Amino acid sequence: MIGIPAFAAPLRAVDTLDVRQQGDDFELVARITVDGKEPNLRGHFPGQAVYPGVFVIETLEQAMREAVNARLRTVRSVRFLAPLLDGDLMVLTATAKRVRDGWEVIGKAVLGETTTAKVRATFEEDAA
Amino acid sequence: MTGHHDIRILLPQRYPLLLVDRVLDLVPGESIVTIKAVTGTEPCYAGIPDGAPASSYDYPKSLMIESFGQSAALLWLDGRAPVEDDDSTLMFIGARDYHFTAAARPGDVLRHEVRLESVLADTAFATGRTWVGDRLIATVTTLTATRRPVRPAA
Repeated sequence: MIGIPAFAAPLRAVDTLDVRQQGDDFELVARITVDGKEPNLRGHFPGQAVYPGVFVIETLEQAMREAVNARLRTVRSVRFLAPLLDGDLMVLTATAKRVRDGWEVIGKAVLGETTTAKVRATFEEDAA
Repeated sequence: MTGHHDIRILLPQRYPLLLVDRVLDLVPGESIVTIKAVTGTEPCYAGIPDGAPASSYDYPKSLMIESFGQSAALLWLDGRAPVEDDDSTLMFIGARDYHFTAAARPGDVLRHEVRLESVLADTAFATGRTWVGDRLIATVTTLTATRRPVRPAA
């Protein structure tokens, strides 16, 4: 299990994370079960908890921080294809390719056999 | 100018995920300027341990995008409250080239400038920038939203 982030975050967006190194590149698999009682989801929306699309990006950010301490720089493209509701298990699989000053990441989130989101993003190394 | 009480009528999100404080300027069908004040009492800062570096207080990018998206929704809604018996919700369905150029921290006021590029059927395309004072925080080429039921009946 991944702990509570030690940086500003709306919620813990990763329950478990597997990272597999392939040379300079790596593949990660992040899992999160949507908890409708989580404070953010009470507000999004009252009476109907929906995991906000932007939290798929939060899941990717927290996974990349945990794996290589990288920070999101640009979301090149993201598409939200199906909503995630209370109790749904989202599995986000991503490949991170090492480039000169960071990583190029391509990810896909699924709920069972349904693709819920596709994302391409660039991450940079933590400057701090 | 639209105050927070009006924003609550127009947007379905609630605490802690209602991320627009005030509308500064609205040109119907064209553009909107909104602000969101970031404070140290935001829930996103609650879990940070004492002694953490300054960058730990960078406002989450996911929330920055959500705040921008809610501003775009206010532009699209153009002061019209959602229809009560309509079960569809305004949903953020995608973005292209959302680029972060600087961080925002407690005490900063995010200013979103959103321009509506086009509306095709029930789908809207917006573009814009986010500032803190004269410091550019983020740019987005295209943000896409649509109106649809949360989960269509199977």
